Amino acid sequence: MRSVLHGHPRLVGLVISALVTWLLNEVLFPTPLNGYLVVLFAYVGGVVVARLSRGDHRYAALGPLVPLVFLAQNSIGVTELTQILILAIAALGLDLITGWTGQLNLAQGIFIGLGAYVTAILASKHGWPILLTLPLAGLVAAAAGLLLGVLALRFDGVYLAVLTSAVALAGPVLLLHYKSITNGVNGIIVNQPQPPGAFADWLDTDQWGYYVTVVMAIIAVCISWNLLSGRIGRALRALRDSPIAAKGIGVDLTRYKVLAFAVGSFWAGLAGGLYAMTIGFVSADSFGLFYSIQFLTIIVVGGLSTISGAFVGAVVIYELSTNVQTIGFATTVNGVALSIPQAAVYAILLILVVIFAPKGIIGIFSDKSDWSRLTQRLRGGHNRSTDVVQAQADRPPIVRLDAPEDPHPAITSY
Amino acid sequence: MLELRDIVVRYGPVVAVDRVSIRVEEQQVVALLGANGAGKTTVLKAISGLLPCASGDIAWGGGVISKLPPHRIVRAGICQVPEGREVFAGLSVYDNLRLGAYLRRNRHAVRSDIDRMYEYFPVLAERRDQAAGTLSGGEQQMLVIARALMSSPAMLLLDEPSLGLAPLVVQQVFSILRRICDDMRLSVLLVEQDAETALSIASYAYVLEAGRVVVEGSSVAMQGDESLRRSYLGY
Amino acid sequence: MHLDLQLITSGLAIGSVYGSIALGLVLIYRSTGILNFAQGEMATFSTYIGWSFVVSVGMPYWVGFLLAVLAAFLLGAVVERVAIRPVQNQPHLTVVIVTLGLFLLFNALSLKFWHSDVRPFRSPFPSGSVHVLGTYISWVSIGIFGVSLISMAFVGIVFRFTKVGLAMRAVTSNPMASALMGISNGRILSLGWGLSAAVGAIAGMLAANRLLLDPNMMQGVLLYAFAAAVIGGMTSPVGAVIGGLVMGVTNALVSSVSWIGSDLSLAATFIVLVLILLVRPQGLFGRQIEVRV
Repeated sequence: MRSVLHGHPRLVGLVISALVTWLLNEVLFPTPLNGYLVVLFAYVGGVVVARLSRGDHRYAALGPLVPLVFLAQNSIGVTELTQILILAIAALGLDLITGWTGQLNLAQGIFIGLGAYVTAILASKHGWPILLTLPLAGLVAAAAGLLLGVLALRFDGVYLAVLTSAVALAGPVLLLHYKSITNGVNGIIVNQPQPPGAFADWLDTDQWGYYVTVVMAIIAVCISWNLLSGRIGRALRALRDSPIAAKGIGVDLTRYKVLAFAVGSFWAGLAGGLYAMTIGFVSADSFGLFYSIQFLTIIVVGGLSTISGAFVGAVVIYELSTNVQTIGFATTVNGVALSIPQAAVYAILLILVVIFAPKGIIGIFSDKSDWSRLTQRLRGGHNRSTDVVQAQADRPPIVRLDAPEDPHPAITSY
Repeated sequence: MLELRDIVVRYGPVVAVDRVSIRVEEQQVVALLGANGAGKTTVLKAISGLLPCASGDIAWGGGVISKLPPHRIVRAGICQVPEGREVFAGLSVYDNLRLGAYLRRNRHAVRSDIDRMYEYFPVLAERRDQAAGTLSGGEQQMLVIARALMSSPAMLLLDEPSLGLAPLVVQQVFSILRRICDDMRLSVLLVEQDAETALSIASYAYVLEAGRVVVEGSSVAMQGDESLRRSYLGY
Repeated sequence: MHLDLQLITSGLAIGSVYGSIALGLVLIYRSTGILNFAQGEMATFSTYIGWSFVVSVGMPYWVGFLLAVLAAFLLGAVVERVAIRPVQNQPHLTVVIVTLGLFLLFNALSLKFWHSDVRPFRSPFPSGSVHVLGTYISWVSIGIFGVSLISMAFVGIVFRFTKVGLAMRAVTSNPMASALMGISNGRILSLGWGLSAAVGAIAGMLAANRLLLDPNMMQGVLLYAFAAAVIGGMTSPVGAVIGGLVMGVTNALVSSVSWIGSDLSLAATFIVLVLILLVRPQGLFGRQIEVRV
């Protein structure tokens, strides 16, 4: 925790986020705003202020987690927010595997499924308290991830993509096959837990599930930070950018690759447990290849190798995949109805984002973007590229050696 | 005639070539000299369209070519022999030569040109069906030169043909090169670190330092200027 | 696992479909290093186009077939130009996301235009079977196998004996040098995508003989094709075709084992794949690419 709370300028973003949320929610828009929108504004506000105050904008990512506490009171969008946070936790895990160590994993969805089944089976069939099953869901998925991580050591790049997409496609089939454990196509119904005694008066089931998810998300973010901001983070970055060089300076390739897979799968399993708890129903066909692809798009759209990217991406992808019908395009040409189906709109948007913002949404706010140059100028800082132009303005004269009979024309001036 | 007028080439914010002006007359051999990292290769890449010019332009045969893509520049008669012997490693020597003539339609002429290359470089004839990647360094250098000549260019851009070759092989390559230039009436822009050898075949030379032309003059003048040779050309 | 000739021939037939898709994957991968996740969905989309020509418009089967292949060729070339080229120099993952996006897009488009109901697609091959070597081989299997082989041989001929094929090999081998030869790399890559989409369309039309035509028809096939390409070493076209046949036969034999059944054949086939790769990480036909530093 020390590094998380280290240095107060970094917390500015966080505080501002909370303020922005409060302002939006209570003053500017007395009617409850769509939850995610508030969080988004809170985040942007946090980033802007953190950057302007020379703080570390990454810490503003904590910002959206703070206002989340207020939002549950509205009860509107709580289930939505819960699902977004669950997506984000799993995406955080995938980012560790794919973003930070560059191992293309198309099977994140199946690890979520694994966690969901662990929680569902223990809670429904064996009567465990759900909160107790959550860490176990994470651990089981982590164990499976460890296995896949060890296998992944033998496979590189495309080979790993093929292997993991095979796992993603075969996984649900296997889950359906072993009916005695998983209940086959009928799935397992999970009774959503009631808030415990002290909270029962002022929280309903959805809100309780929401708070549990928020706490888990905060834990996931804090642990990821501590993991990634220190020595391990540097090692992972080195590993991703240049595996051979990293090996050369003594980074233990195998250890970190496997570690990333295990930890990343742990978050997936935990997210799965939360999924079972908040959705209340688990069925194998929810966790197929399409589901896994969703997490890949989350981290790419949000911004690879950034913690906040997982959250921003989760918001965008969740909203796109659930609400995209409203931005679906429909018209008639010569009496023939033309419309683009929502999944196609989603796909096209995805491709456009990747083409035009290859570093994801977070990348738009990062150092090299135009946006940050703008804020630099607002702060009175100068632009590096203009320096280069000025530096080259003074050009020494070209020495011309025209006449062979004059061996030393202007060369002495050097 | 090829003329570079104040061209600037950047890699992101870094200016690699700064307002360089170079002229190569018809059938003239011009050398572009300078140390590692001076921007010599960048100049060639800008001419052949592999890198864009940030400003300035490149004129060739009455037109401006600085905005054209690489394949259009080859069509215009300028062919680059890239540094580091970029052969098509998995393809045979014969296929490499055929690719050199990719834009030419006259099969008959192409075939006779291949035979001509085999005459200039007999070792390539011996290895015609061998994968280019299995040739020795000197043989690969000969192959890329022959391949470029297959496009029947009016101008050849040669990038460090001596790099990594044994001195004896360098002598051999350059003597064949001189013969070819005379036979085919080529203009050549030759990039070299080995200034002594380059000046022996060029009639005019430019010296590049940190992306700028610092000295230019006839080869004879450069060879005669001892302090220049010592400070820039290293011999 | 009993060696049943009939099983093997039907495995070879579907395996040749896997091989065709794998060939398309390899053509793209070896020239650009891109694993095209949309290969199967583009094939499904093209198959639907063929289905529309044949069933809705009422054209003769082979005319519709050729038109669909042509449409697929154009589709592939356009996709390369519009969606792939802008991200070509981006990190690997970005390109993967684009092909995944195309996968979703073509799946959605097939679903949109032709809906999710399963459609029968009349087979151009006679029903019934022929008696060979004490076993019966269906004409459908023979037809699938034959047409796949012809299409793959066509690709081989284009590559080996035409100037365009030579240019394709050149771009694959050394893009920088090929640009300096006056080859327009972009056009050649577009052609490569077109070619691989065309081969994919043929595979899709053939697969519709065996599988029922629905928007998700090629997803399983794509996976086997991935496996085939991997077994073939990702860069070897011949390896991909053989890999496809190996996957087809393996799958047919594994499915026939009573305690595995068709249910688990997918998983079992992949265990075979993983085992092969653990022994030979570069695939059966892959060569370790030497990097000269």
